Amino acid sequence: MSMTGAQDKNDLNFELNLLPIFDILSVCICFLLMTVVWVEVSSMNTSQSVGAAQASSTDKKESLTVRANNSGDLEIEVTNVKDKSDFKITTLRGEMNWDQLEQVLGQIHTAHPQLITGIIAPSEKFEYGNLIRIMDEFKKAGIRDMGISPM
Amino acid sequence: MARSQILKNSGFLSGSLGSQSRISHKKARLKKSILASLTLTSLIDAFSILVIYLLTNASNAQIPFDMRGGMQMPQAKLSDALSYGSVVKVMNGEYFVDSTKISVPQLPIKLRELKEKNPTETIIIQADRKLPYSEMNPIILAAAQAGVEKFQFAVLAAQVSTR
Repeated sequence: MSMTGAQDKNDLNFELNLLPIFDILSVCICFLLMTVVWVEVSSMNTSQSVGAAQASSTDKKESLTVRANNSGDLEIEVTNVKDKSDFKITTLRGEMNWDQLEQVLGQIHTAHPQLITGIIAPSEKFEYGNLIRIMDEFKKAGIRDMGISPM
Repeated sequence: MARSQILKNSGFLSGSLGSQSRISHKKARLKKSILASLTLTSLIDAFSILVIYLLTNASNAQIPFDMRGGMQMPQAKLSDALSYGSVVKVMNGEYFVDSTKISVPQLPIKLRELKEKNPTETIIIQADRKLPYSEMNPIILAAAQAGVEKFQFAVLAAQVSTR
């Protein structure tokens, strides 16, 4: 039996009623579980040159151009630098050679740390997923300003 | 009120302090009371942790992407946070701007309209990872014609491996 009347008032031990808190938390969990986004979508940002004025302003800037052909071979050219350099990356057993690309971009970044502009020129059958992967590799090598050349 | 009175009288959901302060001759009943209150407290702890976890995950608002038709977006390790813009989707050779189907000749006109409405307009391109670049090219050209400079390619954030 519970204590009543004067005994209840004199009792210094009290406790919170946990049931309403429990109810609120349950409702909160249900709401958040229903509205939560499980797949995290992010983005790869690029900025394109629009018009002749902007194109001429980037003429003298050090830049890196990657030409990708249909089979996945890559031609890399570094322009507007003292020692102009070219690289060619061929596919490895029909797959794109990502390790070599990473290596080459690392070498370029070491030789030209000021280089932050990269342009990708894909061919018509080049896969979009591979294009994103090249952009990812660019970012890894410190190339932040990326652009895509239309066909 | 009635429910709390019943619970109070039964002593089933009373706390550990309350149970200890009560003068009771029945040991078994005291044990049951303490056990019940402890279970409820730990449940509330667990629920609080869940709520905090879900709140932190739900804090950044996301743009709804239509992933129907087995579309698999590419993955990227060093991706940026997605900001708001018009979503241009390519699927099975068809182009959609904000879920409205648009033909290729209409694409620059639609993008120019969006650019006029909002001069700082960015477009978000959503496509399957296997899509050939020839199907992506009309969007790039249309955006250039409309004067849209900034693109965001929608990707899935991949976990960075610690090699």
